[in-house]
Amino acid sequence: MLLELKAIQKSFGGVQAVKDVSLKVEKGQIIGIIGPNGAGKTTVLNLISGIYPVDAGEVVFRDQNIAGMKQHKIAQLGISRTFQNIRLFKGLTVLENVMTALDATTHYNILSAILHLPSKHRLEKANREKAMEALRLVGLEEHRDASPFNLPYGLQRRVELARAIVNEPQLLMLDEPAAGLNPSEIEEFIALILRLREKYGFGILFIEHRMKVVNELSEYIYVINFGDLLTEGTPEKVVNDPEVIKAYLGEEEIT
Amino acid sequence: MGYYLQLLVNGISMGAVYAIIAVGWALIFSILKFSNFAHGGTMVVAAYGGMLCTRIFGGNLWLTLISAALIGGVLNIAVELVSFRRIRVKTNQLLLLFVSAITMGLLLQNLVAIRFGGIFYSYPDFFANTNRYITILGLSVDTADLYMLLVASICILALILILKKTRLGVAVRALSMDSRATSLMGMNVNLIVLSTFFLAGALAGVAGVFVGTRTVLSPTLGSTYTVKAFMVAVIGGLGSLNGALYAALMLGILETFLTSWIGSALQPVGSFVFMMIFLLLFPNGLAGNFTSDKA
Amino acid sequence: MASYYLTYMINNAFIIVIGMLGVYVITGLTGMFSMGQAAFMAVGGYTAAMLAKYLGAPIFITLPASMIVGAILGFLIGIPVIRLRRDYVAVVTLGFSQALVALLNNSASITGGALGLNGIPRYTNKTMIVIILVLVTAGIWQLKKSRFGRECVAIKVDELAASSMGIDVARTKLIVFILACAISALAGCLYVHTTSYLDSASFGWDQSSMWIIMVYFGGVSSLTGSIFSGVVLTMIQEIFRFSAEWRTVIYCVIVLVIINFRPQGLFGETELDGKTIRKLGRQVISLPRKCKNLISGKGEK
Repeated sequence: MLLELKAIQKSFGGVQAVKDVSLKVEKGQIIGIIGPNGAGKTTVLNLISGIYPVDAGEVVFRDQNIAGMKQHKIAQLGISRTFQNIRLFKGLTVLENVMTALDATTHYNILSAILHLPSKHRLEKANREKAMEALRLVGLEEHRDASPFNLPYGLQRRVELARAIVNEPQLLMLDEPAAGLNPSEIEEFIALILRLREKYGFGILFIEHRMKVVNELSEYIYVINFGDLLTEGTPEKVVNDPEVIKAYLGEEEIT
Repeated sequence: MGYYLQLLVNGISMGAVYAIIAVGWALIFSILKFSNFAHGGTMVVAAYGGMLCTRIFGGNLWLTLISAALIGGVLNIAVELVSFRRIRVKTNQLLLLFVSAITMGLLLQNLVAIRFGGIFYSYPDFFANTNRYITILGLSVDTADLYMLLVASICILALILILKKTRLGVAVRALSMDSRATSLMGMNVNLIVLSTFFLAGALAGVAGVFVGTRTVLSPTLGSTYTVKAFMVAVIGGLGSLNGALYAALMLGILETFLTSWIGSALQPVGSFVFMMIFLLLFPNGLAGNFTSDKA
Repeated sequence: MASYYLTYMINNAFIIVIGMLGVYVITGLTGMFSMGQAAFMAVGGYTAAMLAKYLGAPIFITLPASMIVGAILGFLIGIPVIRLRRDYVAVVTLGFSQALVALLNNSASITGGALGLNGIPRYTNKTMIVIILVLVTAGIWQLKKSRFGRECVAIKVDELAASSMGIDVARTKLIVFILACAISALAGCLYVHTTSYLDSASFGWDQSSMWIIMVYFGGVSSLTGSIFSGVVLTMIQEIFRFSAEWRTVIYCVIVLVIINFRPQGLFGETELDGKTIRKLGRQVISLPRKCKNLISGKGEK
């Protein structure tokens, strides 16, 4: 078992954002989370990555309860993620952005950084090569020195993806990775994710609204509504579930 | 015993002056979420302005207070227009607002230094015709202290009334919760911000007069009181008006006692150590919600 | 005349710039604010002055000693506040600088207090100051191009995303803060061994805020920009010697204009490195041709 959420709960100022969610991700599995807007999907990812602590329940990652651990510790354990509203670092180039994901686990001290000692030189070179490899995988190597904010939206998403995979995580979490992509980009994106999984063998937990992506990528789906698990199952089963259709239709009426 | 009670009263009245500075500071923080380091600059300009006004009004405390409040309020409007408006609208970057505020505070303080530096000015004695001390319950209390406490209380009550009862107050409170929603509700955000700056500046002006009556005027009072206001805001919890009130009283009392124990020269050291210990124990301040940078 | 200004520039501007680099490291790299950074210059200065004057210590002892004392104080001050919002770092450093000046004035028998301390051995010369400035600059440059530099920029821009990359935000901030304090302390040490005189008033809020202004004037993200503006602004100081107040007023107006209309500072994020200089050179070389085209009405499309 790679990741298991055991009845996690979270409320913000009296509002129960996550009431009772349990889910499992096996090694190498692609798991989708769907649900109407404001259902608490992103909160679930934020709870896993430790942005805020869970109120109750357990987050078990590779037989270790990581609930309550610091965010950077969780990331170093091998859980990386992308964000719904792309969060790249302004002021760093594309390559440097990808390298930040390696920096925390690169061990040379501040003295070798200032004096440019051989250890720094060696490790920096290795990191640069790793980052270039990740950029090559997502097809961005020619943009390495660009500022990420000068790239089109679809490419920015891929920079974020490269940053998330460069340290070869055990679990990759994607928050609406296909939002804002056009149909041909979506085809490419699905192929890319499958290729990356093939190469690294990580488990993937992703949130998505585009049903095409959900159907083609996920091997198993959890449906969340009002912070609760509505249902779960294979894509065929979930998509035809009347409860799920109702939840989505309910949203349709509001918007 | 009597001596300590005396100190306590001194401290409370000093704290009352800190309170009107710090409440203005907290007011701006609550709607814009940044620390206005130009606040002390506004205060010191208004203090000198009020001093000039006494040449017209003679020793009339009330007219002086009102004119200093007007000077502070109008000046603060100018401060917002010159140093914050464009940054707020264009980028709203916290760091830029920060530097702009520091620079504005420095500018105001140095303008005062150019005009008034070198010569010591002070306010006329407002209480020349009254008894210097009033005896209450066996305690003889400095008349100036008593007036300070009284005026500060009136100011704070007036502010509370404005915030609770007027449309402006509702708008300010709405803005302090969510600026986007406020503008969506059709309120003129810039107007609310300007009004808030006016209120905060007016309070700083009143404080300036009292600071001036207690000590000799000096341009560097600007940065000194910026630091005090900030310390109060940090102890009270950034952006919290109630917190600022309590913290101001606390700091006023603490400083008075420290001055009595270790002398006025070492008192800043004591205050600093107190603040560090306080931050270690209560990083959120008395009532703060904005301690971390997290979204 | 020229040699007078050169000496002045090296003896004053360069030392001030080294102190300012502490602010650059804190503000330019991590986006924190130290509003009392000059206090760390004072710490370094007094440490060196005491050691040299009373114990006769040579510079190869006073220099590291002042940096170590600066770093220790940076650590003590950083520990409680580094996890909090950036405003707190600002106020605590500011409070520290005021408390320090009060303390110095109050121990006049040792520190000379507000009257100052005379007769500190002069150890420095121009070459030495220039070399140290170059070394400090190179060190910070290397820092910026290392994992710490990237981590700092990530923290400055987006702390939450930085933590998601596994970056220990508090630890990185603390390390960089301590380093910055040591750098400013180093400047203090050089200062006392150059002027042989020291008083508590030179390290107050005015100096600290001037450093912030310098860093922003040059471009908060650009190391070379900060150094450039540090040297230029300190030199202008010499021109406005007759009135420190007017000088500050002019600075403030300039900074307000820059912050409002060119918020990224004079240099923006550009570094004046080989690449930029070559690019500038090409533009300058092609200037006459462009002018000729312009005059002959061809224009470039």
